[in-house]
Amino acid sequence: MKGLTREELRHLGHLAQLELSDTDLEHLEGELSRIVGYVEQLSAVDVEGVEPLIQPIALPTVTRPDVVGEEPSSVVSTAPRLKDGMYVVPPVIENP
Amino acid sequence: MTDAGRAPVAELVEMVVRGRLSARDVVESCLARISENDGEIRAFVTVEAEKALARADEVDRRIREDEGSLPLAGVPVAVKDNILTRGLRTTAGSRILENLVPPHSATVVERLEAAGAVVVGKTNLDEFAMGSTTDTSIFGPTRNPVDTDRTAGGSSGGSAAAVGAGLVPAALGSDTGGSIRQPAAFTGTVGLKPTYGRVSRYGLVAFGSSLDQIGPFGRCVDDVARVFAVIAGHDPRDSTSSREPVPELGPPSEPVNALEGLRVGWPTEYFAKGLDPGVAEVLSAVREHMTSVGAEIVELSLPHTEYAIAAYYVIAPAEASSNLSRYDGIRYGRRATHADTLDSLYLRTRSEGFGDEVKRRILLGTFVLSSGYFDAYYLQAQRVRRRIRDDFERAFEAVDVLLTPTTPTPAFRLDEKPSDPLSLYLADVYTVAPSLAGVPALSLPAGEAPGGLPVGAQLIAPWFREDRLLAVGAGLEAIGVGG
Amino acid sequence: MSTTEWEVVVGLEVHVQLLTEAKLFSTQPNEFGKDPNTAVDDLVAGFPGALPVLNEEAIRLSLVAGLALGADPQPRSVFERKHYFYPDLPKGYQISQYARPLFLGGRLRYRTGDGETRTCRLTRVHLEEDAGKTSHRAGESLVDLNRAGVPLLEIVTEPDLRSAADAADFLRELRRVVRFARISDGNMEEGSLRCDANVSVRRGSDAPFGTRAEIKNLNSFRFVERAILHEAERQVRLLRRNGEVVQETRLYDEGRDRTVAMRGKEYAEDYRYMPDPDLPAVVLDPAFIEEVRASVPRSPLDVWAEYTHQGVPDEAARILTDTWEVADFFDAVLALGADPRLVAPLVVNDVLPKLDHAWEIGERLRPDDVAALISSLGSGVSRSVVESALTRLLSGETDARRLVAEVADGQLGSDELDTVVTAVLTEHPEQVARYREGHAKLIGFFVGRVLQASPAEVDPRVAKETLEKRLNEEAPRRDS
Repeated sequence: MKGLTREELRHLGHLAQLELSDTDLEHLEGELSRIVGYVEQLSAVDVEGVEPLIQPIALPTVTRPDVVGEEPSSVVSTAPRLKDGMYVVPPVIENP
Repeated sequence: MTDAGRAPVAELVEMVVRGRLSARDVVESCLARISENDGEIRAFVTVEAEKALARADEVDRRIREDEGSLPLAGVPVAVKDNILTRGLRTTAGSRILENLVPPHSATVVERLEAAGAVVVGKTNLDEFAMGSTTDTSIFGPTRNPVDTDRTAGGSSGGSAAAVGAGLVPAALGSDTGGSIRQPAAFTGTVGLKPTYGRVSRYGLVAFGSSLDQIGPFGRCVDDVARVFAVIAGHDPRDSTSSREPVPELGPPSEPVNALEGLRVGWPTEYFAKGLDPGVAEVLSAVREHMTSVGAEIVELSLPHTEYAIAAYYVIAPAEASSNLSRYDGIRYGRRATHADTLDSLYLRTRSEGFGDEVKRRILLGTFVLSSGYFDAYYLQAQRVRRRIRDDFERAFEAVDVLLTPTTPTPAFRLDEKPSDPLSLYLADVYTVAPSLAGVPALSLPAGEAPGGLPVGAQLIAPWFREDRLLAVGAGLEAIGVGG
Repeated sequence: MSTTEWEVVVGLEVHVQLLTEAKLFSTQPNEFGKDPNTAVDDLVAGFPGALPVLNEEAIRLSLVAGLALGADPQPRSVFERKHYFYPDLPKGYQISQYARPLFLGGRLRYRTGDGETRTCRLTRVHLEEDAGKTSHRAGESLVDLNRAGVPLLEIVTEPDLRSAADAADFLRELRRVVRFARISDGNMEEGSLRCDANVSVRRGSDAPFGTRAEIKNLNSFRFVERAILHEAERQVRLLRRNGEVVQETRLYDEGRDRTVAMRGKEYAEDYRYMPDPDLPAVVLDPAFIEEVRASVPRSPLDVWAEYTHQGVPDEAARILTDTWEVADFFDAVLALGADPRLVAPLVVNDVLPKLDHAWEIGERLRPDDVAALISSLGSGVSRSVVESALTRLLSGETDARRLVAEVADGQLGSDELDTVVTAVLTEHPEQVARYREGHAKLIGFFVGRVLQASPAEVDPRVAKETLEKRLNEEAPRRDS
């Protein structure tokens, strides 16, 4: 049975940007391993030649005309921090 | 005078449109009921009386000035707190959105308001709609009006309880794997999960994008039908919204006719182990009732049912982990204070903002999408999903609707909630398969288990045949099922 | 670096912004230079509940571009979510294409600096949305999402390029193609054309490919060339020392003119591509593909060849085919019967340098006016008159024939000029003598005197020519 190790959990935490304490890891190791163990039974299903079903109903390609719409609302004003109209974040380090 | 608090929607609308009641009167008495009775239940998380009354006044003005048809004139509606409402706080039950006041409304809310309904407040839910009890909400759990030691279910527990407790005649919830149907079953109300693509998802805080649907709760099938008629239909803002025309849903003159000659599928996998005897008994009684008025029960198999939970708990968390990537506190929502580096901003905002169940699902979703596992888990689950969908397609060649229990047990006690997440997930056994297949499903109060606990029966119809669900539901009501 | 020993292998990933009015999935405007965050709606901001709807023009332009690049349109392509966290990526994922792109294959023919024609194969072409922009100030970074959601075409080449110059030549032609096809303005300074380079080296052209490094942040042709050159040199030096080239992402540091490794990451990036459940697959109707195929313009390279075939000098032909507006204008003038060998130098040397932007040509001049100028030249009108007429046309006046006549009238006739020159030379015998002794610079003095004395306009060049001729041929016979 595929279990999730703490190392794997830490990596997943990094990918998902979630800080996981040792206590968290302790719970999660068991909980997630059990869930992953449970879903493994999917591998037993014969799906030879079956395409994945991404959307449950057939959806035709949907497009819209190339027209500029009105901004529906002042969504930028919901920002916690703005400076000169721009969103503020701690410095992004690009070069070493 | 009919008690406006308990009147069916059709009657209420009639009274308001004819001027025998003002929308303001209706909303005022509704707000009073909420204020008096919601303390213990906690169906609502936000009620803004002034705003609601102002909207009611607007409806009254439109009626006076004869501004056209208002099919839901004056109807007070509660909206699940993961559906955007302009100017009204929308939290999705999460700390990370605890202060969010959206600048615009979801399409469904716009449609309700255009039809004259008045949104009186936002209802409680499991955080980001992930759960079946509402106790993952930052506001704490919603209690079942039938027995306040028990859960109202989830994730749309607040909406179900609001209707179940008679606080509002109608409410909107969302259903991804059973989040409308299960609370409807637990609270003894009617809940509809429409066909995927039937109701616009624009303005619904996304959880499982290929599974989510918004749907109505009501005290009776007709109430649900009336709300459904207003919110359903194509929306150009949602690329997954179907152009399939919404059929006429007028109340049938002879509801029982819907049952005569009806071929009702009875999937054996839904009546196997794990089903509470009290629930099984109620369903057997429904089956007998239906047979007695001319319906034909056909036992059949949906062979991939046993894999539905596994498929759901791969696909839904995968989509959730993706949809929740946007929550970083930079453009809206709660942002970690004193984060000096970009890394710590993301890590702390998200870790402080999300509860345990949400984190669990994000991690699970991240896992099944990650390199090396994507094919074996995510793609495999989507292939099994196609098999599950094909099961329904085949079944509907032989029958008109399927009849199943909605949940394996009635509402459980809040202090008896299983601590292991997996056990809780397994209780979704009857609701997840229709979600994966995208078929519409209705939960109807069908009777009571020992102790007076409501039991729900689930009716499942082919894609886009909500009309059939509602007709059969009305037929069952007419013959006293759940009465 | 010895080219006989080491071969440089380069593949490019080029991103081209499409010329749509609105963004790819949002109806906000696709416009450069707006005030920050003024092209942001709920979808662009990654607000909960927002949903994408595909812009049909982005599909059409992508189709034009892919077909112009000889790529195979895929009947069914899928948008996928590419996940990573960065402040300029509001949803925490970019909507792109991965397993099923819009196009596979393709090729681009291009001329090298030495006049050779080469071909570079393409791997794929796909459509995706652009991210916003982060700017850095002391102690913080600021995010502008105006660019977030703009449609981008990503063009990936096979590793067919064999030097820094080769890569730059390819890129230049690619830019010409996207501009000529009117799908992008291909402006590297404004960021509507961006390039990443994958660089590796190997010992000889039969050796297996070496490990490659990816260089990002190349926003001018010069930087592309320099970065690749320096990266190749770095790798050769490393390998000579028996070191190993690491597969990594590097940035070009313009200040120090070298490539540097990006900040190291503890964990490998994993984009967790997932088909986007909010978007249906893009199914292309074969009839639509053919309709678009018929509308794809000729390649600038082919038009270049056509022009040279008609006698236009190679370099002029290249310039004429840099901008479709110029090529179209040129064609329009030729269609009026003008000789391409005369039109080309006029356009390239006299018209284009006077325009702020080459693409304005059709707005500033009319083809029939230019044809009239050419015809004047043909009937003996002096070049200076034609140039004056042209200047007046460019300043907004019309009717070339009338202007030529006016300028010619207003100009001093050659007989009258002779008279003035004679008078000036007679008046200044000392200067004449000194000029004839070798003080050639005195010509300026004479030209000034002629211009002053002239009753009508004189082209200084013509005055100078006439003076020089007279001064030199009338050199006094020295009494021997």
